[in-house]
Amino acid sequence: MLYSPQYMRHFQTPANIGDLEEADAVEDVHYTGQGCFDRIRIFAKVDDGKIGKVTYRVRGCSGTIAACSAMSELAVGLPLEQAVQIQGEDVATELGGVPDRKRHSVDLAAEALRTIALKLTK
Amino acid sequence: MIMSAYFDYLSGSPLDPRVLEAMMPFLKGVYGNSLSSHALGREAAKALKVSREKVAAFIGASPDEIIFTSGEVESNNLAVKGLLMVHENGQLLASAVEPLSILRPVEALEKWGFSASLIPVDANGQVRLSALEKLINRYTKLASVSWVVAETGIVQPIEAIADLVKESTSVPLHCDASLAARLFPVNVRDLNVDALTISSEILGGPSSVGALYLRDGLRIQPLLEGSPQEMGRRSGRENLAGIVGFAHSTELTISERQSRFNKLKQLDGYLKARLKEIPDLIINADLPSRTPGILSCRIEGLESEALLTHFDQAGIYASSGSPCASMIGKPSHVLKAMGFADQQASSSLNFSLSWETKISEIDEMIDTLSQSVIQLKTMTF
Repeated sequence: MLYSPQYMRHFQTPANIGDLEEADAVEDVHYTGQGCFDRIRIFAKVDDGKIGKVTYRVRGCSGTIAACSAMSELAVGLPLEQAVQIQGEDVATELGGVPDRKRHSVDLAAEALRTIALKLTK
Repeated sequence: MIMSAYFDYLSGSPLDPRVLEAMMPFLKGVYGNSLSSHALGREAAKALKVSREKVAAFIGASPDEIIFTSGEVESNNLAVKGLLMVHENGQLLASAVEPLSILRPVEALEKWGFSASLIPVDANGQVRLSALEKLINRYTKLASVSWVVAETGIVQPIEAIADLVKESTSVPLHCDASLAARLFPVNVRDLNVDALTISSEILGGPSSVGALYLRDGLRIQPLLEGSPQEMGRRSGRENLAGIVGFAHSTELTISERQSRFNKLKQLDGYLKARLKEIPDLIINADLPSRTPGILSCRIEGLESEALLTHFDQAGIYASSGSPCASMIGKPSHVLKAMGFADQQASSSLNFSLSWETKISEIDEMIDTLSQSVIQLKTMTF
């Protein structure tokens, strides 16, 4: 099979989709590489210096949808100083690995979390 | 996953059981080399001769004008490279919506010192005849235009293109008729082309077999050299069983083409009507001249790869020019040549049908597409 069961679960039934009314921050990120137009709007709420909740909207391929879902679950409970360190590989691990052509997806989801965590630390 | 619906016939088509039956003796017992003088070799040579006559008759050519190849890609490479490389230099013209098996050889020839120009197309993907007229000059050594554009099904005005090319020049014209041949009668004399590609699989024949028609007297530089098959124009042992199957598929196509066309037209109308039920779905290049059974569409704002992944999970197989789905990683050059933005191209889905496609397959695909579109639209912004 091309994708792992975790990847397919996150893609078919993605967690935490939508706006977050009580969000402390909202950020947009988009992929800047060639031939891909994926973009993410991420919402986050902080509780006691930790990520309390993450939601998102996404326009992208299956990989970016799955990566956003995995990232939104991975983020909860992380101290902000750890959230700003998240890398694509961390998201890929949550997805049970991704093929090379979906590397941009996990990198973009991680960038979304880093971007909003950085804003929340300021 | 059990397949429940298939809409990717341009990528791969099933072998007609009647063709397989015709091939069986050559897969089992007839293994002689057509160059051998003994009885088994003579049997192979005879089968090859009969097959060549059938394929030639299919396109109104003479048997000696047929070069058997491994399929569309090789035929196109042989035409483009082979017809240019007999010259020291010169210019090559190819439409901007040619398949990559034309455009990549064009790029290679440019690296080797030849010049090349892409003939622009209009918003529907049809060659701009006025632009072609301006591009032809005394250095032009070959023009190449496919009859049917694979991604959109748009039919090129190939007779008008041939008239234009031949009107004032002696420039050879190559035409990839692989897709056209499954639905339109092909006669190379009437078309006034000098080289023409046809392929077996789309006709219900075996994969990896095709032919290049080369007008008698036209010089060509072989890509494969070393033995005398195909009169020295394509060395290498013939795929005899495949060629026999290809030849049989051309006979079946001649006798069934009209009924296949009618069936595809009916299915295409149904597919188009059902697709129009999907909100915001746009048919790309929806001209009356579109070939029935090949349809490209888009839902702007949604990534086609995500839709195809939903399809895949439901056992529904289609394709797209989406960069995320493509190993090449670039938006469709065909849609871009038609003026599509990269994002529009990445939203496009391709459906290709067979006369064997069932209405129930279309219904199942539409149900899955409707649900997927609703889900993906709730996510986007």
